[in-house]
Amino acid sequence: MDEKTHLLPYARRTDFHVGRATELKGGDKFLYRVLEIVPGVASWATLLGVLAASVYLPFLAAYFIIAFAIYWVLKTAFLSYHLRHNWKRLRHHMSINWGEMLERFEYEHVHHLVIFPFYNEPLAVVDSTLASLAKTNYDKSRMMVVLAGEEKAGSEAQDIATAMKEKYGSIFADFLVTIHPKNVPGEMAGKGSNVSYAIEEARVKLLDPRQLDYGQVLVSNFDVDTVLYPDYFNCLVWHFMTAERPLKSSYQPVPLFNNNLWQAGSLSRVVAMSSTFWEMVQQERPERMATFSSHSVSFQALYEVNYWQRNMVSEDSRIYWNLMMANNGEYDVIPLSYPVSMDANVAPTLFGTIKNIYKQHRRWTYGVENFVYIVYHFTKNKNISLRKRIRVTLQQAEGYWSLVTNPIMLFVLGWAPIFLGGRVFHETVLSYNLPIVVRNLLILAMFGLVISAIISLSLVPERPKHRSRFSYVVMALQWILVPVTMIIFSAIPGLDAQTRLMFGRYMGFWVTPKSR
Amino acid sequence: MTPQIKPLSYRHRNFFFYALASAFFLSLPFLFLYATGYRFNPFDNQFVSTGGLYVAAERTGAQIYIDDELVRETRVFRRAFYAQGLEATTHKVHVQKEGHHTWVKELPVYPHLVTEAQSFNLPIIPTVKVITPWRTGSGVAVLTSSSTILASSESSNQYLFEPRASTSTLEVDPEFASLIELFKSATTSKATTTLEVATSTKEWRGVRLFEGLNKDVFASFVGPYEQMPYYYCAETFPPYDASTSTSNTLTASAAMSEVVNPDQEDELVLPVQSVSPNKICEPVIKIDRANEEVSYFDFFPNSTDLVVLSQESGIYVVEIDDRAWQNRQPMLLAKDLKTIVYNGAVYAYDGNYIYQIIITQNWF
Repeated sequence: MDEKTHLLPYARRTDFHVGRATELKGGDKFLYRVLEIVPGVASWATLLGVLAASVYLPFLAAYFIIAFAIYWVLKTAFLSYHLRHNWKRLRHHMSINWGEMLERFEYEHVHHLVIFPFYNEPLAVVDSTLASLAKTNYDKSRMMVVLAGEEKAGSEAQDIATAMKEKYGSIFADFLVTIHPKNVPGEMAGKGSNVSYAIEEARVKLLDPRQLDYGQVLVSNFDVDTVLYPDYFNCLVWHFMTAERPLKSSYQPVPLFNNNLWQAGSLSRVVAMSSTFWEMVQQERPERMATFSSHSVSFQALYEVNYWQRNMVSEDSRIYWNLMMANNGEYDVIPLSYPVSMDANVAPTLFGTIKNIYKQHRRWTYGVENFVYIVYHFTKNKNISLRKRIRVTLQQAEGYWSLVTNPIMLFVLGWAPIFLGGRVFHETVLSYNLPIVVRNLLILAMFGLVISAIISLSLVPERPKHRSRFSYVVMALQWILVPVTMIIFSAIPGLDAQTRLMFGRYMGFWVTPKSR
Repeated sequence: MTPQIKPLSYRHRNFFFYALASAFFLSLPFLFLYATGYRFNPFDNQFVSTGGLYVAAERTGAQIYIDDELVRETRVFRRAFYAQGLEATTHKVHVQKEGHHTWVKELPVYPHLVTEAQSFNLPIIPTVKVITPWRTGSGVAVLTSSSTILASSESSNQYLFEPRASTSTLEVDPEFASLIELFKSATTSKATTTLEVATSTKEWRGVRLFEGLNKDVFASFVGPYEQMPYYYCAETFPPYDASTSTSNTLTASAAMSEVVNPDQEDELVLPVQSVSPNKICEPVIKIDRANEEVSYFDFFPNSTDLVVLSQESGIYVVEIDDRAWQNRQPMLLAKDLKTIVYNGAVYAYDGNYIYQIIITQNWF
C-alpha cells in the first residue's frame, strides 16, 4: 500500500516539504535559489538606495524620509488600534468561564494530544510546565501527554523525562516519553524533526490502540516553557466546536513571554513584550496570520501533510503554510485571544542575554525562508486563487521587508541626507527642517508606546515580595528603549538572516537556553 | 453563548485603514511644503516662501536676538539657534552677553534657504596671564616695573610687584625666555598651526591671509570649492532698514508644483548665497583695519573665520565674513604691542612683559 495515501494530493509532491534550494533539481532549484536571494537583495537595495539617494539625490531622499515618517506614525496608530482591541478581548476571554460556554456542546469525543518537545531544559522548567497542565480545568482522562526528548541531549534529559512521567503519568490518560534519534538522514536537528517523530510515535502507540478518530484529536504543540492558563483547553475546544472549518484550521493562543518577567532586565522585557504585542496585533487580522510558537491543530490536518517539516528552522510557522498549500488555500488560523505564558530570554549576564535575544530573533526572522516556500508553491499550486496568491505574497513581502528596513531607515538613515547631501542641500530650509519634522513625527509615534506601556503593566505577573512598587515605574519607562531594540533585535538579526539565506549559508536550529 | 467582545470586523478595520491612508495623502503635501519653507498666510489665503537663519554663538548665557526680538539664551548644549519661517528679506541679528562685546550683523534671508552666521563675543575686560623674565622660587611672576595692561585687565595668575627686587634671589622664567625668542624673530614668525607662504602670509585649512596694496590685509579662500565658507562671494543685499518684503506668495497648488516640479529645481539647487560653479567669483575679502596700520596678523586660534590684528591702539579680532560689515572686537587695548599667535594662544609683548590673552571658551 502506498504510504502516502493519507496525504492530501498536493502534499504528495516530492517538493512539498522542501527546505532549501539544494534539495531541488533543475529549473525548480534555480527558481527556489532566486527566491532565496530576493528578500536579502530587496532589503539591502533599499538601505543602500537610501544612502545613495542621500548623496546623489538628497532632496528626493529627504522627501522620501518625511513621507516614510508620516507612514510610520499612521502605521503605529493602526497597529495600536489593533493592539488595544485585542488587549480588551484578551482580558475578556480570560474573565470568561469557558467551561460554562461549552455546556451547550457535546464534546466528550474530543481528545487532546499535548506534545512538549524539549532538549536540555532544566527540570524546574519542565516541571512547572507540566504542573500548569495538570491544573487546567479539563477532563485529564481525555488528555494524552507526550514528552519529546532528544537522544542527542544525553541521559540527563532522559532522566528528567522519566522523572516527569513518574510524577505526572497517573494524572493524564497517557504519558508517553519519546526519544528522537540523532543524526537521521534528511533531517535538521531541531524542534520540527523532534516533534514530528514524537507525534508519529503517539499515533502508533496512543491513538491507534484506542481507535480514536483523528478528526477528533486536537494536537497542542507547546514549547517546553509553556505555562498554561486554567481554561486553555476549554477555550480551544469552544473555538474548535464553533469554527467554520474545524479540521481546516489551526488555533493560535497569545504567547505572553512573562513567566520570568520579574527576573528579566529591561531590555529583555521590552523585547519579550514587543513579541507578544506583535502576536496580539496579528490576532485581530487573522488573514495575515500564520501559526507561531505554541499552537494547536487537529491531528487529522497534521496527518494529511505528514506533520511538521523536519528539514528547516521555523517549523512552527511553516506548518501553517504546508497546510494552506495542501488544502489549496482553504485553511485558516483562528486566533484564540487567550494566553499561554512562556519565558522571556534571560541569561546570567547582560551580554549573555543580549546574545541570546539576538540569536533567538535571528532564528525567528529566519522565518523569511517561509516567504521563499510560499512564493515557490504559489507558482505550482494553481488551485489557489490568483487573487489570494498575490495578496499573500505582497503581505509577506511587505512584512519581511519592513521588519528589516523600517527601523534602520527611520532611526539611522533618516539623518543621512543631512550628512551626505552636500553643500547645496545643506544650505536649504529642507535640510534644516528634515530632522525637526522627522523628530516631531517620531515623538508623535511614541504615543503608541504609551499604550504599549499601559498594556504591558496589565500583563505583568504578580509582583514578588522582594521587588518594590518602583519596579512598575521602571517597567513603564523601559519602553523608551524600543527604538534601540527595534534595530538591534529586529532589523539587524533580520538582515543577518536574510543575508545568510541570500548567500546560501543556511541556518540551523538554535535552542534558546531556558532557566528559572 | 459567545464572548461579548468580538474580533475587529473586516469592515471596521478597512474603514480605519482608509481613514489613515487618507490622512497620509492629505498630510503629505502640507508637510512637504512646510519642510521646504512654505508658510500659509491666512490673510491673503496664499502660501509664502520663507527662509531661515542659523546663528551660532560660542558662549553659554549669551542672548541671540533677531530683529530685536530675543529668540534664544544659549545653554551648554544649545549654543545655536535656527529660526525658520522668516520673511525673505534682510534681518538684523545681534548676540550679546553681559561683560562682553556685542556682535551685530545684518543678514539676508532668501526663500527656501538658510543663512548661516557665527557670532563671537570677546570679554570687555580681558583676562591675561602675565609672564615675566623673573619669578620666585615657587613660580610666582615678579614685576619690577608697573604694567598698564594689568591695570586694565584681570590676571589669571599670581604676580608680585617688587621694584627693588634683586635678581640674584629670583629664577629666570624659561617660558618668558622661549617666548621672547619668538617675538625677536616676529618678522619671520613661525606659527606652528599655520603654513608660512611668505613673510607676511599665513595659510590654514584653505584660507590664506596676506598683506596687499595699501598695507591692507586680505583673506582669500584657496581650498576646494565644496569647502568654501558661506560668506565668500556672497551676493550684495539691501540694508536692514531699507529692505522691503519680497513678494513670494503662491497658491497652494503652485507651491506644491514648485516643490515637485523638476523645472523649478534651480531655486533649490543653486541657492543665491551659495556659489554657482559657473559664476565668476574671486573669493577674496578685505579685512577691516579701521584705518589703523597692521603690524601683525594671524588666524584666531582654531578658527578660519576670525583674524587677529595687531594695531597701533591694541590687538583686535575681526571676522572675515563681510556680509553687511565685519564685526571687530578688541582683545587687548594698549599702544605699540607686539603680538604673536603661537600654539593656539595669543601673546602680547609690551617691551617688559609678555601677556598670554586667555581664551576662555572653545572657539569653533
